[in-house]
Amino acid sequence: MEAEDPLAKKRLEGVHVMRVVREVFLLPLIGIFFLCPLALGYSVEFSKNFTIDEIAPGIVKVVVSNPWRGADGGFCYILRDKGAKGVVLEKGCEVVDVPIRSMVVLSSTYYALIDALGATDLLIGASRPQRANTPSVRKGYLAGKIKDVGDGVDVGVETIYALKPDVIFTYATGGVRDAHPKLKEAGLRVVVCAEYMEEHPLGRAEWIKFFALFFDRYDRAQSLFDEVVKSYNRLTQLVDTASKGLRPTVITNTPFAGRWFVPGGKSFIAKILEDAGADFLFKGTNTSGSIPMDIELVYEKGLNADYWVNTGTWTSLEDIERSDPRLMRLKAVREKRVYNNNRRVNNEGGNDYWESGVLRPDRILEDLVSIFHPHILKGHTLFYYKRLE
Amino acid sequence: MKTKHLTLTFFVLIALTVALFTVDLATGSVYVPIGDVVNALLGEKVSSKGLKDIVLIFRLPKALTALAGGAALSTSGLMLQTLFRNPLAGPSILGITSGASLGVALVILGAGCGLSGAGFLGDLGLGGNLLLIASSALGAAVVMFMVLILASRVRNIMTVLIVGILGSFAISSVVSVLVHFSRPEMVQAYLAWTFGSFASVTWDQLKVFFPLTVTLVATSTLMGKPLNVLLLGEDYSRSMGLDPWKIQMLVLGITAILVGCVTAFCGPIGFIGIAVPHLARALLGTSDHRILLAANALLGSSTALLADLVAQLPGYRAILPMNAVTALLGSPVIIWFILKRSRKGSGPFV
Repeated sequence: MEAEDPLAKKRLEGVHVMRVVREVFLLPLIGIFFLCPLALGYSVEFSKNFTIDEIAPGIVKVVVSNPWRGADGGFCYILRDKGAKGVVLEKGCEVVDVPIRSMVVLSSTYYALIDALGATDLLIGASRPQRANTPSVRKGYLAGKIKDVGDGVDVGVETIYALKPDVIFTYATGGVRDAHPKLKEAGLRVVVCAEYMEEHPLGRAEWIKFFALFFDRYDRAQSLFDEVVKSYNRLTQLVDTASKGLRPTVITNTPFAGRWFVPGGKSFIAKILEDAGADFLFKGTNTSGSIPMDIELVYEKGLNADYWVNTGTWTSLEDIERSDPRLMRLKAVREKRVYNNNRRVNNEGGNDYWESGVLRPDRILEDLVSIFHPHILKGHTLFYYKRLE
Repeated sequence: MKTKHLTLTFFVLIALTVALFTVDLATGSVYVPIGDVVNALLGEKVSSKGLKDIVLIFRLPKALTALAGGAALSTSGLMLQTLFRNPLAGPSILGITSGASLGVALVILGAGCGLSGAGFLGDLGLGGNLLLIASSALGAAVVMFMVLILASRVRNIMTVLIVGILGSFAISSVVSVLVHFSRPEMVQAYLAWTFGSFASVTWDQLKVFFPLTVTLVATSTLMGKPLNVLLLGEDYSRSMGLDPWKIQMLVLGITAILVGCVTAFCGPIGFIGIAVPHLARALLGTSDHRILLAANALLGSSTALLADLVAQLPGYRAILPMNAVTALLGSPVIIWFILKRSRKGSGPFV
């Protein structure tokens, strides 16, 4: 009977459909709702030196690996939201209550990341803040809100101790001169970053997510970073299509006392040169560090290179002549195609390339693309780079 | 017999130096076919411009610098060992190198501290920088002069040596204070300089460096007799009608210029100055400076060329700091000397 009742059948089907909907969609939806932070919340795409895992609601485990070349282990931090219940203790992990209320940073490479997250207010101490290019940090220093705590070799442990920051962000080189062991011994909470060890230009910028976790501003970091990625990828695609496979050859860095430190083929600079559509002549070396090469080797290989970039402290072609007149024979010098990343160096010697450039590899890339392929980005004004005259 | 032995020794030393000089020209990080090396030197056609440049503007000045620099360092080492009658005397131990280092540190790092103005940043490259060379030579001369004055006052050559060593610590501490307060890129430039290298001397600089050092080394080989006298003590030299003060002044003057010159152009190169004279004495079996000086200079050149060869790590892309190589080559010689001496008891020091 029921079967002959089309309406009833429909109704029955409806119930069935409803059940299907509930079972197929709703349950997972509820699941996704709860698991959301795990599945969608945190992601690290380009950085190789940190991971984020939500281990409980409001509790995130962040692991920094490869903090320096040849490092055995890494550093682990448990970031606990103020509202989160309970503590998850893990061996070897430090617990940090977030959002933090104050911080000291021991590297200027973090300024732009902190500034972009609107967290400069939390900054109470920094290494040589008088050299900062990041406007909010400069302002904070001039207003006396950010104290100079000394740098790398010369960190004022007492000064930092007196400031009592919630967190100290620093880097480590694995040497005895690292600041973090002493600061930890003094009972201060030290977070070791490894952004400088990233090999992909976007991997450095992605450290904005790492910082954001401490300020509870992850979403902002994600959207800022996505913009940078979009802009970076747009440029690489542009290069792919418009360069027509033309790759000008390029050498980098400068010799001193017979040695020429050449970045390895796995380094940040090798990657960004490749993305900018250039042929880095030492891309074949299998390291991310620098290799001290004999000046004659780089000279021979680079004699006919089209471009020469990242030339240390030089600001003019005259500097090259004064430093080593032999280098005037290089094709890039003869044809005046030498570019240095020191356009934005302030009077105190701070270079914005190492500040805002960390967050904006797309801008560095844009400069490089316009240098190597002037026809692609017509009318582009160099931002970090400067042509030596 | 003895003359024959000597002639043979000198022949071997000259051949060794020539051989090492040739090998130094023929090898390096870049492979240059030997035919191209010869053609480049003879001004004939070379397969590529790059290779010609490598031989003529990189390897040849470097080899000539090593040749002259090695002779200069070993000569000053030998003369200082005789002057102070101490086997461990040498440019780097008496504070002369530290003096030169301080001069350079003041120029490189002082720039970072605002001593010489901000426009200095671009001058970091050592080449072409006469200021650096002058300050290095001046630093060396000032320290030498102080050592000399002290020597004339205390009349005890051992005290002079100890004061020289301690003085060099004091100077080094000034340098480390400068390093401490300098910008990382300045410190890096200074550190690169302290590694030592023959490779950064250009032809223009060589025009000053080579004639100066070679002339002084040649002059010093004529000082065999007064140095022999000096070795026998001041009273003896007075009885011989020679004024020890004058000889001391002359020796110190020559060594100051030699060490200052080498340190300025090549950085503080250690161990050649201390180790080579011991090798030379052992090889010749004599302390007679009339022959020792020339043999010692040749041996110094060979050692410097060998150190340069090793530092290049032929076949590898990377290179080693020169000072690491000279220390590796030089310290076994010194250790061997000390052990030999202690076994013999307290014999004559040289």
